[in-house]
Amino acid sequence: MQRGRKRSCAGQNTAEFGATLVVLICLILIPLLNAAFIPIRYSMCQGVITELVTRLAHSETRSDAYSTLDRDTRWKKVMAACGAEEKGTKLVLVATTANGGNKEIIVEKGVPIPTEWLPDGSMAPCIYSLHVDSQCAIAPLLGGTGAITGVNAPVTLTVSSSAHWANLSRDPKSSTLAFYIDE
Amino acid sequence: MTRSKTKYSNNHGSVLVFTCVGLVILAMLLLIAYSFSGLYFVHNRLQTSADEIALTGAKKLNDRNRIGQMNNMISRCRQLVYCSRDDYKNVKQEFPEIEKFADQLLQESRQSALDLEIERKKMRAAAESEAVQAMHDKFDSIKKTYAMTLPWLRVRTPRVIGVGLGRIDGIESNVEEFDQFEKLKQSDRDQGYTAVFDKLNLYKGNKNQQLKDDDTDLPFFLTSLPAPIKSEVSPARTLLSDSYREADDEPVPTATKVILDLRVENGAGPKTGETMQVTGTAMTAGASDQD
Repeated sequence: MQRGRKRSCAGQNTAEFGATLVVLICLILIPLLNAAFIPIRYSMCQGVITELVTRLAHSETRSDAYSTLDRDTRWKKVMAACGAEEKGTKLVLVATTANGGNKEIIVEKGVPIPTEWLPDGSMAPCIYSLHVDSQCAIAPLLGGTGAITGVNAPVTLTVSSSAHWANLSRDPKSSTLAFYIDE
Repeated sequence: MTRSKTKYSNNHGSVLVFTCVGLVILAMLLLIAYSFSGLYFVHNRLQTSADEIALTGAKKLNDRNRIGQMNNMISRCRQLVYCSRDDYKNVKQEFPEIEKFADQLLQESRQSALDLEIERKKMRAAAESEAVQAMHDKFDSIKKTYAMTLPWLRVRTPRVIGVGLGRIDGIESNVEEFDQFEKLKQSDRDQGYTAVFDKLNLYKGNKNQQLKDDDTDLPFFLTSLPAPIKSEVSPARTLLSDSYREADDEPVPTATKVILDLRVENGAGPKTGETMQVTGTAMTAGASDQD
């Protein structure tokens, strides 16, 4: 009797252990592993976006920065290689007052900078920076076509970065001698 | 019964072991994530340092507007030589009795052009050595802050791989076209010495603006330097490294480049590492107003 009970318990344990192992691996370890790759890929995307916005902030004119953003696909390919797909990117110029007050203005694509916010305007001195917000669908390591976001489906996150605008001089070629930042 | 209890304990222990293994894997993944973000942080920091060093050197190149002032002096001296030559020719034809005096004035202006060229070369040498020194000084002040050892990351001290002085294409000189001598103005335009824009005509930079005929032996090198426009001086700025060109022999350099490298290794486990390299490029400040 005692012998039979022993065999029965051992068998039950083996069956439970196997099932537990499967549950542990499939429902906990693999999803955790998958999810753990999302921050890694996010930091890679952050690096790509920072490199992009730094390059754009060194453009000659602001319109050059927009045309580079539209034309350049290399950074999107790098992000794709990192397991992230770019879903939409917005580039704006942010001007902040440098001598206290912390006033700020956001200038969208195609909109001229208000006169008072130009480098010789009444709000000067200002700090000008380009800001990029990029919507990135970051896929987990395994299975990117499921329904559970972050586990087997991509998570869409906003990757943002800023860089100081470098060229603050006027353009001698311009008919209005405008600032490069406003061209 | 006792044996059976022991077996139960052993099985529970196995699950614990697997859980621990799982946690170890997770910890390792977190460590990888930390290492990645650490590398990213270190790379950005190194790039910022390279930009800062290049900018320090670039500011020194046109310290107190020396390049701008030299450009202005050279262009005015050129005008003086042109004017003296013109006067000499007129005097020789119309007032030969004072030809000697006119010749003396011409020779003086020619000599001043040669003297100015010597000064320009001295200024170039001074600007170059001061800029290089400033970059090395800046690097020395920054490099001490780098070395760090974390459990997952070891950062060594950065090294300067190269320092360069050069120029940026597409920039004219700071000297505005002169209107006083119509013949000279036309001749300069014909020779492609001036860049003509809507509102502003500037002499081209990084070019020997030789005079014609009897004064071709005199050098008049103007350096590319952003002109002050509406009293706005173009500030020194960082650039992308692909816009940098190595300096030619004659003009004064207006841009700097610095290449840094930094060894980064893993803090624990088998020894692996990578040497990251960054390039910082910057351009000097533009010329100030002449007065």
